[in-house]
Amino acid sequence: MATNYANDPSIPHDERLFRRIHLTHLVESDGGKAEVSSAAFRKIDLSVNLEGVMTSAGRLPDDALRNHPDDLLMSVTAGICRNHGQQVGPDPIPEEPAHGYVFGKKSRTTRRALRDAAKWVVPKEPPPYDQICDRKKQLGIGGRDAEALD
Amino acid sequence: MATYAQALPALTTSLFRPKWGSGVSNAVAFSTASYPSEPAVPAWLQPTIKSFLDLLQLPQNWDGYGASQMHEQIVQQALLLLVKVMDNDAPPPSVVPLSDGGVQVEWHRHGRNLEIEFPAAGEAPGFYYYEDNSETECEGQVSKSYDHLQTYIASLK
Repeated sequence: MATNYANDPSIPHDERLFRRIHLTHLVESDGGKAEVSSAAFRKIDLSVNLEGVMTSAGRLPDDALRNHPDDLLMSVTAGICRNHGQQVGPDPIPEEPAHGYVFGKKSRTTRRALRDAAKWVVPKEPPPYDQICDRKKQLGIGGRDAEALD
Repeated sequence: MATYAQALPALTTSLFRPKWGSGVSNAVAFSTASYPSEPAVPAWLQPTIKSFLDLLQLPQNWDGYGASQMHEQIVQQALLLLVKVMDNDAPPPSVVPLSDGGVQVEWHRHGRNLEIEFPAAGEAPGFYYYEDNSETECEGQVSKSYDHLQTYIASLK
């Protein structure tokens, strides 16, 4: 992992940064919709995939999920992150050459702003929460309906 | 699965003493006055505990980004707070793991949003309330804001 989290100005403001979303970070919102929790954008050193590096390697965005088939994928632009005081840079690692970071302390307002600015990539639209809930239950990682406790 | 008591030893019936300041809980207190050995269990409690228990099973690196396992003592801390500030008929929160081993509970209902964060990394629990399509937002430390949290949660019913 990177130890020097400088901002890399060669990454354009409109470059998409892909972040995998674990199913536990999807919560129920009004109207039965699924909404991603701001907790998904909380880490100081937030790992992402850089679209430019993926594209140069002939990889499509959904390849970011190749080892994480149960995750979903969202994107934020480098410019949005920088506008909220974050440093954006590359950090290639053996298992992910397109790995990068969005580095900086993220206040609750910043987390919310990043969450609100994030766009769905896989799937293209926010999934119904019922689907997410069913999948969570299948995986044993939560679900809305209580079941009998011992 | 672990039993109720094994998994969450902090949960005892002593947590469910009547809340004299709440209309709902006053009703419960009145009704249980004749049956003092059976305090009412809030409707939100069982689904919330189920969520916590499920998330406690997540392994190290559950998100593929190096996240820590959820800490049981943080879960207990969260449950103790919820018991303090939630009426019996409050809606259950969504329970979300934090990458540092902490937990966040949150509600998004009727255009109102409340997040209560219990970090594992030494920070004090905090809350963040905001409304959609509005400038209204408020954040602070949980320990100084029980009254606010009660009001916010009541507004989510």
